[in-house]
Amino acid sequence: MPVSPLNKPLLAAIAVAIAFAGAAAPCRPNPNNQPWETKVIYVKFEGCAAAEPKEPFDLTVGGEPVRFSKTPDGFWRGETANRHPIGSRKVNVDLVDMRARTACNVAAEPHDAGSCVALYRVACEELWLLSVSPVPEDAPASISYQRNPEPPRFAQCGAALPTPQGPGELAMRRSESIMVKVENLPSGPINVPLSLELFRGGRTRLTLRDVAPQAVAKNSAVSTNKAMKALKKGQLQLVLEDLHFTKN
Amino acid sequence: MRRLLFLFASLVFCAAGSAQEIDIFDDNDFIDPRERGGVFSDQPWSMKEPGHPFYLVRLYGGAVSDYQWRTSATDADLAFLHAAGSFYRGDKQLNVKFTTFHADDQARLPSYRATLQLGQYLALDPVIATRESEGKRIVNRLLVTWAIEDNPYRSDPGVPRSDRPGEGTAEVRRDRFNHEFGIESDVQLGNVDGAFIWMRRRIEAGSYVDRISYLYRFRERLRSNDRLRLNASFGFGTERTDSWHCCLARAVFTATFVIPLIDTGFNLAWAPTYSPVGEERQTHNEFAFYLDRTVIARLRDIARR
Repeated sequence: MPVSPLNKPLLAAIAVAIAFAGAAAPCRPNPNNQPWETKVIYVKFEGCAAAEPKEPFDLTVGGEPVRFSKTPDGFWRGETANRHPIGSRKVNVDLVDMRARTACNVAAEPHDAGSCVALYRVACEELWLLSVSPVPEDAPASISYQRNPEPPRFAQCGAALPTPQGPGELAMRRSESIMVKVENLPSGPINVPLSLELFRGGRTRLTLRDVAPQAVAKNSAVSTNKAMKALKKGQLQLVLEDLHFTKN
Repeated sequence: MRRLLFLFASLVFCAAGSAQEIDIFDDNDFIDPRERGGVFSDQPWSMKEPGHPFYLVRLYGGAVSDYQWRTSATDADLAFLHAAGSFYRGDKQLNVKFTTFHADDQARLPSYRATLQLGQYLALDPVIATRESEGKRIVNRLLVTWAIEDNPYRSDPGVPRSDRPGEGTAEVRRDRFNHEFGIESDVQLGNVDGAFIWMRRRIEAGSYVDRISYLYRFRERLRSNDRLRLNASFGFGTERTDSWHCCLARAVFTATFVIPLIDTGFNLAWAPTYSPVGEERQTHNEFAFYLDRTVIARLRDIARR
């Protein structure tokens, strides 16, 4: 549909306004040629919209605890007790309830929010929860895990994601795959590869019927075939009626 | 020296394939006994632990276009039903297979084939030793095959006993069945996984056709959340009637989409075959669409016996 010449500037202005909503606006240069100082801290999470905190939260900024609340334009705002030069303090975001992995040692940049404030852009990645549960619950299955993480896009804060021993819940990065091992079988461990992709199409639960257990690699003239796959499922079912994998 | 002997034994015992090797719809059913909990002894032909017995029955059914019958392209379209039962115990394997074909009368194809196979697994040191293969034993399999199918030419007029004029035409009755037997060996040479196959088919009393072939299976590739499975194999062979006729080359490409809810695979296969026809060579394209399903898979827990 052709755009009227009269509407083009209006459309451009709207596009610019949309682009800057939630975007950083650099501060005008300080006439003293010194870094701007501020008490106001802004935090912007980038890459994990669905996993952002829902309630006000506390962060330590330069050793000082600061409470942050959501602003109408998508930032989280807090204030330190005293003014400090923008860029002199770094933050680590490692909120327990936040289902995301976040960047570490994030430095601030000047942001014009009416006055010049310190903006921390925190890169983050959503996590999903994988729940592994045997059927019946007390089945004598020895279950362990081997994570296959992809290299992180940013330097992450916090310890490595915990991995339970046995049935339980695992926090998984979106790009990460995992091998669930059932190990107390006479034939040796059987691996069940899982990733977020298997839960595509709105699926939240997988069972043994839906997965393809793998033989642990051995030296054979033939590595795998349909008969082998049927054997692996049969071996799992010697110990388990079923194995449920639930995405939360 | 022992490795050379085993290689020689493998090559001698390998050649003869299961009847109708590289059939477009016949799956490989090799299961390493160690995957069933078996433990080989130091000798390649014996086991310390037999592992769990396992048996399964698989069904296949579908249609094939331009069916390749042994070394001949038939230009025939047919429907088929194939049942394969495999029983694994210790280092042995027993296969019983039955296939029915339905094609039009002009196709001159057998209407059924029955196959019996006995397999022996053995653990050998790598034939080609590398640093990575040091200390690793490779499990191979010898598979002896006997197959029988009805002779599509059994109703044809008999062959005259004598070609001298005036001596009449006392006919040699055509056999009702065709028989085949042979041996296959699945081997691993370095990084190459393959099967050497020798098959002998009886034409009439005292007359045989020999086929020797080599089959290489590529590793399975998984796509689309492991629901799409891609397989490929390549084989080439030669046949001796009055003399050796070389060579036939054949590839089979199969895409299998599995629907877990009904535990059924939908298969689409393509098998281009390059074969000698008289003094020339031609390429035939065989296509198949079929379903496959494991109807019985039972693993016996030896602790519960």
